[in-house]
Amino acid sequence: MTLTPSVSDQQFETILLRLESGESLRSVQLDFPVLAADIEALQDLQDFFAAQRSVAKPDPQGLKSVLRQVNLLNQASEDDELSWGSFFSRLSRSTRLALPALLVLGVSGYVWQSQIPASNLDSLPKMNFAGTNNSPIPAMVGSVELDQPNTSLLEGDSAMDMDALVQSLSNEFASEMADFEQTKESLEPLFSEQLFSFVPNSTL
Amino acid sequence: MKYLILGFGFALISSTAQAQYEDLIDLKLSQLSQLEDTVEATNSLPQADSDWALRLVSDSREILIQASSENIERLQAAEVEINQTVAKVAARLLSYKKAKLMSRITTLDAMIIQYQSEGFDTSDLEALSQSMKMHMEHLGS
Repeated sequence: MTLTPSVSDQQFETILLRLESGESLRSVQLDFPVLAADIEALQDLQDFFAAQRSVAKPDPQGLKSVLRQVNLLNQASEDDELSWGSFFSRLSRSTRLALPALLVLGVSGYVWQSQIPASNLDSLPKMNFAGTNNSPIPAMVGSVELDQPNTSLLEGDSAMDMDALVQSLSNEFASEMADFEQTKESLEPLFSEQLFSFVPNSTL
Repeated sequence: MKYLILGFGFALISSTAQAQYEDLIDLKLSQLSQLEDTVEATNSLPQADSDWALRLVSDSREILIQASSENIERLQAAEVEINQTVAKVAARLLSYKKAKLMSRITTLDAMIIQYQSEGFDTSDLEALSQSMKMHMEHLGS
C-alpha cells in the first residue's frame, strides 16, 4: 500500500464518501489508481462497520480486523516522502479510523463490565458504608449492634413462652388434681359405709 | 288379746325392718351404679382395668340381689364382700389417677433438665415442680 503525497484531505474525504454512498470499489479505484490498495482497505473497513451496525454485540474478530486495518493504514511506506500533505493525510486517516476503533473498544469494555457478577459489585457500597461510618471495625460493630436486639427479642419470646408453659402445666395439673379429689370423695362412702351394721365372724 | 297385740307389734316391726333393708339395698345398688359410672368415665383407663372393674361391680350387684332374697345374715355377709370389692375398684381408680399426676411431675422434671441443658431459665418450672410434689405428698398423707 502506498500513500502518495498527492492525496489531499479533500481527496480522502471524497473517496470515503463515495465508498459510504455505496459506489463500487472498482469505480473509485479507477478514479484514483495510485490509491487502489488504500481504497480497498477503506472498503474493508466500511464493510466491517456496516456489519457491526447490524449486530447487537461487537465481534472480537471484527475488532482485531479493525486493529489490523488501522495498523495497516498507519504503516508508512518506505518510499513515502515527508510532506505537509502526507502528514495531514495520515492524521486525517488515523483520526477517522482510530475513533471508530476506540468506540468499539469502549462498547466491548462496557459489555465486559456488565458481565461482572453482581456480588462483586455489591461489595462497593459496603466499603463506602464502612468508610463513612468512621468505625475502626465497622462490620464487627454493626454485627454486634444487630445481634443485641435480636438476642433480647429471643429472650423476651423465651420468657413469654416459659410463662405460658408454666401456666399451662399448672392448669393441667390442677385440673387433674381436682378430678382426683372429686373421685376420691365420691368413692369413699362406697367402701367405708357399713349399711347393714354387720361384723362377720369366723362362724359364718 | 294380749298375745294378739304382741303378734301385731312383732309383725309391724318386722315389716318396718324389711322396708328399711329394702331401702338400704336400693342405696347399695345405686352406689354400685355410681361406681360403675365412675369407672366408665375415667378417661384413658387401660381397657383391661376397666373391664376388670366393671366385671367386679356387676358381680357385686348380682351378689347383693341374691342375698336380699335370702336372710339378713346372708345380706350382711354379702355387704362385707361387696365393700371389699368396691374398695379394690376405688383404689385402682385412685391409684391410676395418682399415677397420672406423678407422671406429670416426672415429665416436668425431665423437661427442666432438657431446658437447663439448652440454657433456659427454668426457675419457674422448678418452683412448679416443687409445688406439685408438695400436693402429692399431701395426697399420700
